[in-house]
Amino acid sequence: MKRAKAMLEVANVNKSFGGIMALMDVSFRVDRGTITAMIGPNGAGKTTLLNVITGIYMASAGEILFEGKNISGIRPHQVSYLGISRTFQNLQVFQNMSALENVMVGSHCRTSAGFIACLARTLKVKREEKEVRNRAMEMLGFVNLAGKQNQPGSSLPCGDQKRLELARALVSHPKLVLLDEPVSGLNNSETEEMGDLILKLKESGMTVLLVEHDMNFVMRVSDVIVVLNYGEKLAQGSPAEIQNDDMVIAAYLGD
Amino acid sequence: MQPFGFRENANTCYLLILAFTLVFLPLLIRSSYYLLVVNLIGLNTILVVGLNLLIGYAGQISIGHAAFFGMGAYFSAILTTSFGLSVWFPSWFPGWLIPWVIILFAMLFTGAVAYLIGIPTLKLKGNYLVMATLGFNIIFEIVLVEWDSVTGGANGMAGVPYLAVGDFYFNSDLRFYCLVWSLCLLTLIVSFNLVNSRVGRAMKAIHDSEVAANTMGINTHRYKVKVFVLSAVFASLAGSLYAHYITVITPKSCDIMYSIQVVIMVIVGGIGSVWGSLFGATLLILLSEVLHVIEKFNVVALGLILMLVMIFFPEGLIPGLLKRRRSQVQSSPFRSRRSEVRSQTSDL
Repeated sequence: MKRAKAMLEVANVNKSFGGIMALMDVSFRVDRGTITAMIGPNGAGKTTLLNVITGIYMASAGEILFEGKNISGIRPHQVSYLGISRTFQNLQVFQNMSALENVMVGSHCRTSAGFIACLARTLKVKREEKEVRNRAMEMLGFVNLAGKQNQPGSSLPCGDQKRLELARALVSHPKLVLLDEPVSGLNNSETEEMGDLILKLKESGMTVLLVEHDMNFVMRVSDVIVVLNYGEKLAQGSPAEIQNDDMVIAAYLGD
Repeated sequence: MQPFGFRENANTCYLLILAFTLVFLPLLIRSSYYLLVVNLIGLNTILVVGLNLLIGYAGQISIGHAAFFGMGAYFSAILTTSFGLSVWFPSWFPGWLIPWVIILFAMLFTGAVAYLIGIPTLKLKGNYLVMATLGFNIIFEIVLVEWDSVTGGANGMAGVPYLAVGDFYFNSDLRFYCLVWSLCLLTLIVSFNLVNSRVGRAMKAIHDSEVAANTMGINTHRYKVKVFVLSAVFASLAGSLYAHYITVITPKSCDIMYSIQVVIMVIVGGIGSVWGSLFGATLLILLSEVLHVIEKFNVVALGLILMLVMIFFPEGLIPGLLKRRRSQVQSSPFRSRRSEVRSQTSDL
């Protein structure tokens, strides 16, 4: 039996805040090893959907299937244990921690030392600590932040913080990474760097779902694009198909 | 830029210096009054370190820790005096060990109470948590005063026995000095272990961004409850030791004023700084001894000091002074340089 092809399946998801429908009957599939981009005007419900997938919001109706398993209603802190990690649109780097510590926190769900073991600093804790540190250093190298491990998160420029968040999300070996506007606020060369990193992730077999406004970037990296508008799925297809879709053009440029 | 292990090694180094100083300190201090003051500093440090983990690392403020201190003190006092507990222990069990066992049970009991209180109250945020812990402290005080058949009411309890190991009684200031400062060093060591571990990082993460911490797989509520319990257990240990040292315990020694005083120690010493806890406790205890001269204005002076520290050193006296000194040495106007300095001092 082959493994299910879909890494993530969003099935008829609805989300309402009071009377406002933020998501209406949204369905799509993210295939294993692909990069899927969600685009759409502001307020289209893109971040809301990411929040539903990661358990920050609960879907009003519909299901989220991860590797064929229904994960709707999961608590946010359980999501990472399944192998889903994410970054945030408005940076959520831990400001008072060094870059290295930031990435080390990302390994939280892959380590198990308990409260009392940490108080006593047992051999197991020491061993785990060393592994976590090495892995975090490796990740900092991957996102081109080697040498900045001791700088506090707050002192890094925006571009570095974005890549720091990426490293923090990757350090736990996730199967699926959700990136919320990975290149917003970045200049051209930083955007290109981020694009290279994301393509490298795909090469290594990771599945990526991202939200982004920068069209050049989206067209460059994504295999599949999902367009949302006012909480509804407007279109889905390859970059070329989306570029020529009348409905998408209408939604973006007005009739 | 220093290698990452720098801070931990520095802490080990400072701890050794502290231990060394502590060995020789009694040689300098001849008067038993000064030793008493030093012992009080040790007792308070045990409590303040725990509270600092809660306030500085998990970002939760409690004005109820005097109650946990009192819980430990009264638990020890009641069980070693009015209850004839020794009949419960088998005859081969050495009598001197019983108070120690009771101290452990006091810590367990206080931890359990903190757990039960923590589950609902730590769902509250900011001011509401402060109010809830404050309320708990008030209730605890009222129970102590009103339940006088057990707690001795407003007069408290006297005649708490000294702790002992075999025939060696911790009945002088110098002997108790050895006991309390060994335990204080131990508290500092385990706190450093915790801070520089997976759990410590999780706590700091909660402080900085709860949403992101949650996404990393950190069950924020559970961590807050655990740190709350740990800080209560430290407070209970300090309370038990206090009862066995002073041998008298009254509701006055665990009232709200004391709760506020220990929070001031945390803030003055430096929020989120383990070493700051030691300095905060030292400074405030010394001050309150000096300020005895002006008796009633004691509280006014304390308030004034807190205000001044908050205005001039919002990150606490020790981290603030260190930062100021280093930035004078380097006096570089660039932000990155300054923040690097902050990163070096923030974990002191």
